[in-house]
Amino acid sequence: MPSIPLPKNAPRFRKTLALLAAATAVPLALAGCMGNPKDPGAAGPIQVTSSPAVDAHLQGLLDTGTRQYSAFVVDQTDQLVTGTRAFAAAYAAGDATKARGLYAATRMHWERIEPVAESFGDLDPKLDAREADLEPGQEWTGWHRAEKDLFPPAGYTPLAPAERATIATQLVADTEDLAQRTRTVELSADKIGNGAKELLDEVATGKVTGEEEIWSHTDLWDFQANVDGARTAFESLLPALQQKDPDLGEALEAKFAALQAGLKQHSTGAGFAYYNDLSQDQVQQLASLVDALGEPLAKLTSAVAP
Amino acid sequence: MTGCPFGANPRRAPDGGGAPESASAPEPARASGAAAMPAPPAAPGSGKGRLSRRGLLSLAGAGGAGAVAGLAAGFLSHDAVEAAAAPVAEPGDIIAFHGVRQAGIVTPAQDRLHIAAFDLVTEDRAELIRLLKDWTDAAAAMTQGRSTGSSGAVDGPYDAPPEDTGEALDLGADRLTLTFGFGPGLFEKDGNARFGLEGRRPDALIDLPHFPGDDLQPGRTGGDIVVQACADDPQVAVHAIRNLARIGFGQTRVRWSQLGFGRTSSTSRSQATPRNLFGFKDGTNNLKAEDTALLEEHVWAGQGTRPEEGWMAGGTYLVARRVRMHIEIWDRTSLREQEALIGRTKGAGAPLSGGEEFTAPDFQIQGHGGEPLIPMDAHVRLAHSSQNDGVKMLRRGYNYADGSDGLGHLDAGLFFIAFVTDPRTHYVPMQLAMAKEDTLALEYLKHTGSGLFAVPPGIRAGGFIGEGLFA
Repeated sequence: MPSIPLPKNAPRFRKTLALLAAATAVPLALAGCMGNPKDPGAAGPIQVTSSPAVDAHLQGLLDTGTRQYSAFVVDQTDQLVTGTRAFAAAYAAGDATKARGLYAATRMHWERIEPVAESFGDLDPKLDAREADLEPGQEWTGWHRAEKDLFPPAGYTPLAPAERATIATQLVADTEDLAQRTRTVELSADKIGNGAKELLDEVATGKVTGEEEIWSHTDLWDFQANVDGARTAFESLLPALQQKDPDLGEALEAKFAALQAGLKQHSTGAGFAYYNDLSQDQVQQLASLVDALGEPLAKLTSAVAP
Repeated sequence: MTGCPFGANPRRAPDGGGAPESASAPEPARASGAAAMPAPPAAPGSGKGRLSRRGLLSLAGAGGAGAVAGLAAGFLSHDAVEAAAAPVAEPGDIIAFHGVRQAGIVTPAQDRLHIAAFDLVTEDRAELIRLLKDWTDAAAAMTQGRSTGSSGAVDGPYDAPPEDTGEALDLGADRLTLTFGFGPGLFEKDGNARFGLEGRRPDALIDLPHFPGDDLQPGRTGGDIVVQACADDPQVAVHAIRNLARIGFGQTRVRWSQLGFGRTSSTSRSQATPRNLFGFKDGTNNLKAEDTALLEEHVWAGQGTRPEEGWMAGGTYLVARRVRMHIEIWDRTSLREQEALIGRTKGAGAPLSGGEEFTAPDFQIQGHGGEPLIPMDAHVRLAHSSQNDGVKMLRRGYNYADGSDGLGHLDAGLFFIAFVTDPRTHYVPMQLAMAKEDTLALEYLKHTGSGLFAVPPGIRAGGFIGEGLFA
């Protein structure tokens, strides 16, 4: 597994990757052993790519990657539930300082698996709607409702304790519902590949523009988490990609590393710089790195298709 | 979602009403012979019209050029039918891409502009060269009316984003030209040479000085590489810039881009003189493609004085200025004053000294009271070559309108483009004089964007943009 610098504030995430690497080591090694007899070159020059033997080998790599990514989703939702309970407890109890401290780091677990979470159409708006997303009369719940209350703009009237408790309770209940439902979600290589692209799209349209965390300005936490999720998805498919299009694999590894290095420039001890402290030049540099990765990443799904 | 990109592919029916002509479809083998060339006129019955990008791509696929064998085999009969149904280009629709000079300079000015300046985000020379080669391939295809990439907009794998963005699929080449130039930032950044180009920056590629009245916005100024796309259809020009920008991600980012909706200059005697947003004919006295000796003297660059800048021989320098016009103020100005400021009549475009549009202005002739008929501060006098050491430039600007300014006024004006042999002699002195003395410029114009670019000579077949710089 390629080593790409991780955010300082993500020790649990680091552990997850290590676990995943261990979990996949055996099937990957097996696949490597089985490679030689199925070498397409051995079958002569008329060998075509539809050979069942080669497909089975590739399919094996894809299945392994899918299991690997599914384990990642489970792990992240577990951590999301735990973190959300702690955040909700602090928020409901009126401990705004503690809640503010937990807000961005806890949301990273959500942002890492955003495409999976968003696949539950009813849960996504309840958990992650921004004020600008609401339609007239729609009840506003979820993370960003709490965000505005914790990072209030001038002239804002704080929620009453009872209202806060309601928001907190709903947030935990919806998150537990999400975790439950992800246990039965069926993943596949094309969904994972498209998910990686969608995560980068999220960065390009919401995070690098500072729209996601309009009150807390913690967009770079989400940014990092989206990139983590995209990279994990990519690495799940990398063994198959190395068979089918090694050049694309190399290009993506380089672009992921460049984006991570760019993001790292804005990391601080506790996390990241706030979006509203970034200069226009710095935002442009990040946007450019996102575009540089986004173009080749969009080719991933098709490139690993059996 | 099927895992197989080619399986159960829901192919669209051929666009338009070409089906009845399938009886006259040429054999695939014959169709392939046309792959490399701008279509010869006409399968019988195909009628007058333009060769669509889709049709050209299909021809290339049938010939096997760059096509995946299985893909081509599967679609061959379908595409052969479609190729035959595709309308054929009018001869004047396609401008040659390869040549001694780049196209889009003396090419008779097209109606529409999309120009973009890119900043390089890589520092790797090999990556820069690869980008220029990729851009060369894409530009060669698009200017000939073809899609970018080997699979174009609709013939690639179903689970991959199409190589070409597709909005020009049913359009012709529309005389698209793509002209490339290099800004100072390509050669050096923060005082350090980039891409191993020490000493290669031509002396004429200066940093333009500040001109009085300049209000340049950083986001509309400068850039490492410029691409001027001109076409008779705005969608064709935008498609070209969009696809080049997309190919460049990872190496470049768009620094600024500008649409121009109407040409303000004629660059050939075959063209009528258009009007700018002041309502006056513009570019009457412009250099024209037919003035070959004058072009050599005033437009095309020479060898320079150092061997390291010899790569620019046969190129030229592109000056870009985004000139906002205070059009609302202008519109409140009397016709008498408008004509006095310009020095020409508004209707016919004749100089105020008399005659027709193309009559040479007489700057000496006086009216009653001893005042010159063409006022001392008239634009035509200050811009005339006789007032500027005999220098001329090839102007190729476009009118623009970019929404409004928030104060109830249109953000509109002239996107000035000029090609000159050396901006030190052919642009800076004149612009300095105009910025100080030209009442038109002082009261009605504001320069909000700027760029100077070294436009290398043309691209030979098999070569790439700016090849000489990297030799």
